[in-house]
Amino acid sequence: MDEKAKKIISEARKSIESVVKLPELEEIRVKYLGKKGEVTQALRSLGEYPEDERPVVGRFLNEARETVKEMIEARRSHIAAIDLENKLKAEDLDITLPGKRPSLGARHPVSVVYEELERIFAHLGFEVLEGPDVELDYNNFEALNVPKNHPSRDIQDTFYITDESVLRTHTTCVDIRIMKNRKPPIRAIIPGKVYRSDASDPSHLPVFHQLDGLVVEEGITFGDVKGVLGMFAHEFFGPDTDVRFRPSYFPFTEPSAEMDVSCVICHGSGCRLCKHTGWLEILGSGLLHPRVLREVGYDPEEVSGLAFGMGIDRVTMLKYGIDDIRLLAENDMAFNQQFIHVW
Amino acid sequence: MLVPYKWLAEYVPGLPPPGDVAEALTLSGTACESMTGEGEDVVFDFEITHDRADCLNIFGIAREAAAVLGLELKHPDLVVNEEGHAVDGLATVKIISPDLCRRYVARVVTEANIRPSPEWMQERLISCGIRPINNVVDITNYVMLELGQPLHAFDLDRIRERTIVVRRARSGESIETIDGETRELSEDMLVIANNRSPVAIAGVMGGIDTEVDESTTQVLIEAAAFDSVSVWRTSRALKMRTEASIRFSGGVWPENARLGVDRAAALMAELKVGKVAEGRVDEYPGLETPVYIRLRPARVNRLLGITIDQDEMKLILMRLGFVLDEWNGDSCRVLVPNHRMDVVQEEDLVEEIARVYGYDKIPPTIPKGVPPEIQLNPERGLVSKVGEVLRGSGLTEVNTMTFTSEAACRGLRLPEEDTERLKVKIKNPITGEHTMLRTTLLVSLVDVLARNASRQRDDVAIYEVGKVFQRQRVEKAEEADKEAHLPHERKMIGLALMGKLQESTWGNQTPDADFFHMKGVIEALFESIGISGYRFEKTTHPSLHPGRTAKVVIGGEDIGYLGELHPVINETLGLKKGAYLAELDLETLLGNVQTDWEVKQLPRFPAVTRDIAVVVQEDVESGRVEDKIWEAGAGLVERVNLFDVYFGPQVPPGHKSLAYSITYRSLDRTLTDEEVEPVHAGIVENLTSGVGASIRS
Ligand SMILES: [Zn+2]
Repeated sequence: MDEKAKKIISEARKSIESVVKLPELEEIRVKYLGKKGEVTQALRSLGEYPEDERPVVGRFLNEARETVKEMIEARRSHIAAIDLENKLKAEDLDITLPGKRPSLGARHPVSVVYEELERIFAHLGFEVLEGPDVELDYNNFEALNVPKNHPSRDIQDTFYITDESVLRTHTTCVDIRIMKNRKPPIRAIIPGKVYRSDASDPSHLPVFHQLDGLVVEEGITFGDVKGVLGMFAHEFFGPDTDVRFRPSYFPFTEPSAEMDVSCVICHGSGCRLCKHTGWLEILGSGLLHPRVLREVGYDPEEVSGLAFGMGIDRVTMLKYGIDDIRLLAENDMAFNQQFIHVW
Repeated sequence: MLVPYKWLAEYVPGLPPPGDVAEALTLSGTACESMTGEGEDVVFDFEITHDRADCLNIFGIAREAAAVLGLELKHPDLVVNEEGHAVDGLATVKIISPDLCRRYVARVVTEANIRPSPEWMQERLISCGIRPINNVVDITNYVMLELGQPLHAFDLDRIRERTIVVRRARSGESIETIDGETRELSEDMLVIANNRSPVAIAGVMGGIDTEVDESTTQVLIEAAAFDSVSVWRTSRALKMRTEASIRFSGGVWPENARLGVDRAAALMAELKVGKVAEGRVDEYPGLETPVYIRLRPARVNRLLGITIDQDEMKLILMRLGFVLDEWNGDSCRVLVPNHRMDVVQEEDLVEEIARVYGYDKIPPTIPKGVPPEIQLNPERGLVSKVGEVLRGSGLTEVNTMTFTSEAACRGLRLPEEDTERLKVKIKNPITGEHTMLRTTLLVSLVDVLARNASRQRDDVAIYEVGKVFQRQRVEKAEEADKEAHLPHERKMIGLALMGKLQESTWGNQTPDADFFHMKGVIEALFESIGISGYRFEKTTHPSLHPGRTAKVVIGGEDIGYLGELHPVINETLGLKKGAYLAELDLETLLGNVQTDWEVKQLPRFPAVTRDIAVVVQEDVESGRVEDKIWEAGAGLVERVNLFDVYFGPQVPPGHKSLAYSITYRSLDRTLTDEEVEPVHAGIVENLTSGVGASIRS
């Protein structure tokens, strides 16, 4: 190659590589490629060469011009990238400033627990059914084997609306509506508000929540009561939960059982929550009383049924370590919003 | 019920230590609630279920313990050392109301010497929660605790003509009871009377006139079997719950009356209270009929889901005091012991067998039947979606009580005549704040706002899905149908916004919620659940700001309303910020949800957007302006977006400027300016003629 062209390229490379600012790079461009630039001048003075060398020298010089142009362009984008990088670095944020959050609301813990229970019982084919809060005395009591004007009415202190209607004391009354309207097989859970004429205190509210369950089909056994409810306890309180069933009394079941689970705090060793028994009472259950079955027109010799009922507020309190039931009804935002993380 | 371990052990020789006893009884249905004291001095507190009045006494618990633990049961000493006169000459008993008194047994003690009872007896009474009085009263209480038979001791000399008459009270009669209170009696109450007037309220409390005191020399001990329902009703009516009334209400069995009176007499003789007269007066009109039940072991096993053999069943029942005939094929006849008033049918025997066999030995199973076909409840799906959307919009769920009061309704300025007409009143409220069921969710939501505001929480955004209640008008034709008398219950969605929906952060000051935030929440909710074709129309509501209230209408049907809480209410409640409330009917919403929805094809041709500023008089609603735009849109308008509302010097006084961005698009071609221009001009023309608008460029 022509010495001149080589020289131009090597000198240009040196100066281009040392340049860090775009204006300087522009100066270099003018110096080599401008109207009066070295390459341009050299091309103009091509006539100084012997005629037979001119095409070769011209080609070398043109090549040198292209090479310098490319080097400058490469350098230009390199510097531009560095400049951008530096500019962006200067735009840094205090990333510890708080984020601008969309606001989100929380579910009420009672709804959280209801939803979880509905999911658990859905696996066993239970349907969710509801009934009225103001219920006929007949459905709430008489049909459930609690006659009018009878000492067994003492079990539940009742708000009366009329002589014939009450604020339901349990959602078990819906069992009667369901059984009167359907034929077995039936599997249903019944959520809803229930009422007792109790004054408010840390463990009582006049309005609280219940989930009742009802299964009626041929061949339901007391073993099924234990199986269905044991499954619920393990799903809800965890697989290591111990479950025990104790004989009890409810007018509408026979045999009747109370289900206890091992204490969620001490796991059985005894603490204040479980009154040092290691057990927590969770729900009442049993096989439907033959009088109830007959009342709804079923033959106790042909079908049997199981029923259970649990207080949702109590279960919610146990699940989240809430020590005063009134918090569930107060709706203090500082309380309700704590449940935003629950899913 | 309190039961000292040592006392219990007297009837069950070889009774295991207290912890084991508590465990065994708890697992067989007599729940031990607590144990106090140490070692032999432990006192159990047992919870006795309502059906087991036979266990409301130490001997009853002993009977259970012996059966459950397979131990021998020792009976109390009933041998009475009688001296002196025959009882027949000393007192007479007449039962006038045998329906309420199945048996009345009496014994008489003469030459009585009233003084304190011995210390051991006093200690036992105290450990069971009963205050010692004197030897006679203490013995009656002791026997009640021991055998469950309530007794009463009369000063026989103070009973006119020494005649006991068991009858219903007469209208206008009253009695001063031993607690010094005068009780007005009614004709359905059973009393013990002399020939003239009552001396005791049967099964509840004795009268002060015939009370045993230091001057008493002759004592009549009463042991009766009063009707449980009658005693229960009387004690409820008089608001007197006594140890006796609790036991009578739970049920007593006539056989126990004789045991009780004899046991008391035996103790009176033993403790030298006086001379026990020979024999007893025993009026027994309601002779017990034995209860027999047919037991089919196969059915027992079928209901329990186990296989216990019939001899084991027999053994269990015999230990509990049941008497079984010989097996007759695959069943046998079972005689129920007198004290087991709760056992009347085969299922009761099933429970007896199961609880002694051990609930824990019954293997858990899952119902074997095919689960029924279930129908998904669309309402629950809707409620779930509504909650999701509202929480995503920043509203927190609340769960309130359904009660309210007339005063709270007045506080919300609800017209009194409406409240009176609609309210479902509670017959026996326990506080003045809970006298009726709410007719609107507003009362509950406002209550939550006020409670939070009182705790310095002024930014509150909440929702609730809950019921409201209204009394039904019952048509003549339905009067016989009890169901028709139940109130109308409706599920509503309630919304409330107060203060900031979102916390202000650095560089981003959020405004307090206003009417349009609430409207926006509702619009977003409707869009997300597939409700369209609704309108907001101006309306009024007694609890809301008269100029800032709207109702939501769909196809002529009201879905609900929204508005600003009336400033007067706001101030009364001490709310520091404006509150916006809404209530929507869930069932109506559900009925208007569009389910036949299809995905639209994506627009393939570009849109043309034109901005337009419409100057109209201030009272022209923007909704009408928007309608005019759509009307003249010739099917090419895709979207109309109001992006600015301006009042001020740029427009004539009494006017406002509404700035819209109108998007035109065709689904099948690229629109040209030449095509859009005439449509846009048509819209301008329609705005000018329709709402008197002038167009600002
Ligand atoms: Zn514990």
